[in-house]
Amino acid sequence: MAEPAFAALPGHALKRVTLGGLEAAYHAPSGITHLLAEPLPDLLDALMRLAPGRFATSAEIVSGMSDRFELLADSPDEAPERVVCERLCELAALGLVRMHGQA
Amino acid sequence: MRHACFLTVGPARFRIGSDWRAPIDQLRALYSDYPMDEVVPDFTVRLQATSALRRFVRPQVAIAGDFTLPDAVPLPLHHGLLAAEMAMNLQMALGWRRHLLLHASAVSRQGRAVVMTGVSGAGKSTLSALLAERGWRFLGDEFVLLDPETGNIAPFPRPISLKNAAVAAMEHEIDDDSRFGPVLRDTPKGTIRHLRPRTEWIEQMARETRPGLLLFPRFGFPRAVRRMDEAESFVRLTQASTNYVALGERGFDALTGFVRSVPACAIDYATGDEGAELVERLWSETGAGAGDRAAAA
Repeated sequence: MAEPAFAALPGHALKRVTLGGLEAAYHAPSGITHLLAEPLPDLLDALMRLAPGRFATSAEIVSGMSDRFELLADSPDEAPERVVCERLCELAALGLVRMHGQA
Repeated sequence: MRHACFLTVGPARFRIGSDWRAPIDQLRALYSDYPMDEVVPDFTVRLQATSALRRFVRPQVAIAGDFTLPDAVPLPLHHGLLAAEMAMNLQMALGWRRHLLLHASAVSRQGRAVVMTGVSGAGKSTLSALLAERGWRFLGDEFVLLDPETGNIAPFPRPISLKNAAVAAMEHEIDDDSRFGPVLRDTPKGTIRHLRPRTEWIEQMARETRPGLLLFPRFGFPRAVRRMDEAESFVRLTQASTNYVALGERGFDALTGFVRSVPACAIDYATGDEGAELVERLWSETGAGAGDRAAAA
C-alpha cells in the first residue's frame, strides 16, 4: 500500500475565517460550512505552504511543522506522524484536502 | 382572487389575494401607514378556501403563494389576518435572497442596531416592542435582513406580533388602542395581537443601519449575562437563519463578518422591564461606544 499523501484544495475552494479559538471553513464545492478546532487549521496552513498542487506525506508535513510547533502526541507510544495522518484523512473524508494513496 | 392588496415593507413588496374581504380589510387597517402602491411584487400570497364549500360553511383559510409548506394546517377565517402574516413570513423565510435573513428582532440608536435572536418565546418581539416605546428606533421583530455586500441591516418593520402575556404588557405600556390590531384568540400560538409600529419608523424603513450589538435573550429565567464568543454566536445564527445555506458563500461572508464586527451576550431576564434595562446597560457598555464612533465618523 502506498503511503497517503495530501495536498491543499485550490484557493477558491475553501474559505477560512478565524472565529475566536475556532475556525469557520466554507467548502465551496459542497456549500457546507465546517467549524474546525486545533490542530486542523494548522494542518491546512501547512498544506497551503506547499507549492500549488504538490502532495506531501504526513511525515513531510510533520517535518515542516516541527520548525514552528513542538509536536507531541497524547501518548508517548503514538507517533506524531500517525496522528497527523489520521487528522488529514478525516479532512480528506470531508473533502477539505486532497489525498493520494491509501494507508 | 376576489380581493387583493399590495404592501411594501422595507425592501420587500407583497401582493396578497384572498377569497374573502375580511382579511384584506384587516390588513389594510393594520398596514395603513405602509406604502400600498400597485408595484410589481416580490411575492404573491393567496388566502384561499380549502374547497368551494369552505368559502361559506365554516370557512377555512389555506395559505398559498409563491412559497408554501405542504403540511400547513388551514386556519379558521376569523384568524385570516394571522394567516396573511404567516404567509408573508413564509415567503420571506423561503424565498428572500437579497439579504441574509436572521430570525431576530432589532432596534437601533445613534445609527447602530441591537440584534436580538432566540427561539419562539425567548422574548425578542416583546423586548423590541418595549425598547421601541422607550426611545429606540424599531427595525423589526421577526426578521433581521443583513446585506451581504455592505454588512448593513435593512429595516423590516412589520407590525409586532405580541403573544399571550405580552399583549397585556404592551397594552399597559401604550395607552392608545389605535396602535393595536384585533385580538386573535385560540390561535395555534395562543392569543395574538399585533402592534402597529410608530409612523416615523415606517417612514424611515428605507434607511439602513450598522449592527452594534448581538444579544441572545431568554425570558423567564433569573437575571444573568454571559459573554458569547464568535464561534458560538456563528453556530447559533446559522440555526437562526432561514436562508444561510441557500446564499452559499455570500451567506458565509455576511455571517462571519457580522459576528466578528459586534460584541455578543446571552441574557436571561425574568420580566420585560428587567430585560429592557439589561439591554440599555449592555448598550451603554458596548454598543453605545460603537454608535458614538460611527456618529463622529
